[in-house]
Amino acid sequence: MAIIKLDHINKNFKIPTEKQDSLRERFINFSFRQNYKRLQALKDINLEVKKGEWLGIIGPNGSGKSTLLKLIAGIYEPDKGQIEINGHLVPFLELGVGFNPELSARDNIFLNGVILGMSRKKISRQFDQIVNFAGIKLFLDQKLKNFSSGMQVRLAFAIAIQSAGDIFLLDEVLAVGDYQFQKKCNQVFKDMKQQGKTAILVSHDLDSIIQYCDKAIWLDHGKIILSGQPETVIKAYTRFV
Amino acid sequence: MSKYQFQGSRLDLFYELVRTDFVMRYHNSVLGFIWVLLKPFLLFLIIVTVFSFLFKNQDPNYNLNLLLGLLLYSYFSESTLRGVTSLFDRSSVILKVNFPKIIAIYTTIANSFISFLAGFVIFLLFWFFIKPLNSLSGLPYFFVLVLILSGLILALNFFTSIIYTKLRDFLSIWEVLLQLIFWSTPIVYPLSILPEPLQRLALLNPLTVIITQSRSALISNDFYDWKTVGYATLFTIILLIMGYLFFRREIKRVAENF
Repeated sequence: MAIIKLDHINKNFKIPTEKQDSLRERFINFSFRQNYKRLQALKDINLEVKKGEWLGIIGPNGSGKSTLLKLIAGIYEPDKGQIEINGHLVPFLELGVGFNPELSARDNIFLNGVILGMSRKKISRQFDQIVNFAGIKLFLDQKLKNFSSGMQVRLAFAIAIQSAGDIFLLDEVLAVGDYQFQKKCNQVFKDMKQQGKTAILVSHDLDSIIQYCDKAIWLDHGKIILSGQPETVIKAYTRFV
Repeated sequence: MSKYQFQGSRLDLFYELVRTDFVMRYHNSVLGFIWVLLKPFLLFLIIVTVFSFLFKNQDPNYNLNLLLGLLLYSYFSESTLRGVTSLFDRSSVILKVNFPKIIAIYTTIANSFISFLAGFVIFLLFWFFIKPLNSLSGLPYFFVLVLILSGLILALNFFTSIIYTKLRDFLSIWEVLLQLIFWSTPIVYPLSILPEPLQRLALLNPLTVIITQSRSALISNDFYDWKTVGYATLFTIILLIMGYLFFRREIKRVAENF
């Protein structure tokens, strides 16, 4: 059964040719009408992800990869088409969403956790697990702004994997952390796969796509150029580039 | 058919957002929470010094009336100002996670309400000191009025938070409007100094109704004017419905405005 189904998805963005986002500017230009250019970010995308399947999305910058993920996460509305999701989606596109650098790590764990859809009770229950995984026990009550960027990412990742979703959206989240942490992530991904969780991975790191994904699509200018086995798609993509 | 839905606890999200707002505002400052209380009271002192000789003859409880008016107005101005920027301030989160954004609007009111309550406790101290009435039997009525005011604020925030994501100078416009509201509402002056037709016009402003009726409830025990309160309630409910519908329609595409 398809856990994610995209049916003829179209997404356009209106790009103002002249940026007018204040009333003052509109008065100065004697016009309340803005001129827009249409940017077609996604054209007629059809996609199905089965339960337990890991899908990799590759393509050059600006090809619509992140837009596609944001549509699935419900951040953008499609202009045309239907999106169906049959499961609990963990909408972390980027790690550490809602992190507040002025708050302590402890407060941030709760803040980030509830934004990702966990209850405070559940976070309290899994608090030690999060802290241990991130390896930040000694710094719990320090402000997050004093953390190194690697430590912040580790913490964010530790929180995100605790949320009990079964669909994960990962946008370039693999290319961070030190070697030791990468190994930990590797283990987590393997566990997630074993538990039958579904994921969509956007990455420029083609090796990791081959390593984790069962299927890949190649996006360019908002269209799916090719979809199929990761090795085949990546071969075609690298030959093309 | 099922689109993505937030599956977490809305109450917990609300709690954490309020807590974050609260901590962010008052951490690092020596006086912390005292600042919140100090602001309306400093304003109160200034206005009392300037105006009390003008209106003292007409109103023996001028000071208390002014204090109550300022408290209600600060609640209004503070929470609407925060409401304007409430979505924009969270743009980084809105662009990354689909969470129930309406909670960000509720949050703005919650925090201003906390400072309002703290200010109200101080008002009560003054009240017991001056003792303008024998009892506080008007307190339930007063809280009904505060509830109407909160509804009004919420309704406005539904509109302004969205508008600000499209027009970035709306904050300055709102600041000017707040000044206009401040001086056109009988806060500094008693409603009775206005000529009769102007009084009726002023009562079209729900804020005027709320402030004058609050004064009746807690200070002067004049009369409870159910007609104007009914009007203010109806006004608020209609604005709330319109605001909610507007918000619900616009919020889907708000991520594209950032």
